[in-house]
Amino acid sequence: MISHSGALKEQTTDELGSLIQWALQERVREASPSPWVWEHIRTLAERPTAWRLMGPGFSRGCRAVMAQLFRVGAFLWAQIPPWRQSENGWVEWRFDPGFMCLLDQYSFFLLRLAF
Amino acid sequence: MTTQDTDGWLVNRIRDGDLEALGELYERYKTQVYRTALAITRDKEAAEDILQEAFLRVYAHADRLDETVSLGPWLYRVTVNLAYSWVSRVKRWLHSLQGMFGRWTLSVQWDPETTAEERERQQTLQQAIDALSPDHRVVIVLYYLEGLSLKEIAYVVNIPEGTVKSRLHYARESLRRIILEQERRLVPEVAYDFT
Repeated sequence: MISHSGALKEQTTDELGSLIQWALQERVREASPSPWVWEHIRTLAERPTAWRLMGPGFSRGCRAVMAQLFRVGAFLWAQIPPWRQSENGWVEWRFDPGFMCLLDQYSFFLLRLAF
Repeated sequence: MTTQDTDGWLVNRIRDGDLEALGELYERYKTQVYRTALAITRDKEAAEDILQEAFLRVYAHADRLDETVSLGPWLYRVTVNLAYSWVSRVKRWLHSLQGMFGRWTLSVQWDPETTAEERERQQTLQQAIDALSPDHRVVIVLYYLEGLSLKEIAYVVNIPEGTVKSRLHYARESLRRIILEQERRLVPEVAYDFT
């Protein structure tokens, strides 16, 4: 531990600075992230995403436009009221992550063909 | 440092989807990113979330990173931006939930050898740092905890170097006032002047 006992009486060149440094270092002393953080990063990075499938096939501008379109799409998708699921069987699959992933990949494949 | 030890070499491997390279970068920078986020947000969970997000961004944007320079400044920039967003989100909540803040904030673990006077001084100073505006706190953390130069801070926070200097000055003045008040309270007959 960094001890600043009596530091105020010593009047170092930047006493206030060393006090601030001491207080900040004490706050984060021995602080380290939980091991699960890396596991989460790894899991999320390993997840196949449609975004990555686009790869370098599209220019940055095109990707930016598509990102905005997909955001709008995701927003509209979220607006479908849940009661429609029970009423119409055809929308039930929309919450199936596996199907969504397949759908995403398929649509990107079509987009790539189109370009 | 050999070519294979550089950040650029690891970034190139990440571009090819190599998660081991991402893991190596993570080990290299995790403490730096985590403690910066922790010092700004004062919240362990938020700091871990920021750490996670920062490295996911490295992975997602590897093709845009400059492999010829160290990744450190870019990571600081991402960390500070994420921490800013977190602080501003919490700030909104705080207006209505001020009383609950203590539950979220980081509890300080005291060393048994710390004297009561040191403890009080440290606590006062930490509270004073917490009370700084996010703009001032970020500059203080980057300068005093991470040891970045004014130029480096200017890049990380994306402001002119002169603004960094002025923020640092005002933050120091604010902290100086608080410490002096505390010192006068502890030892009323002595008035110290900081350099």
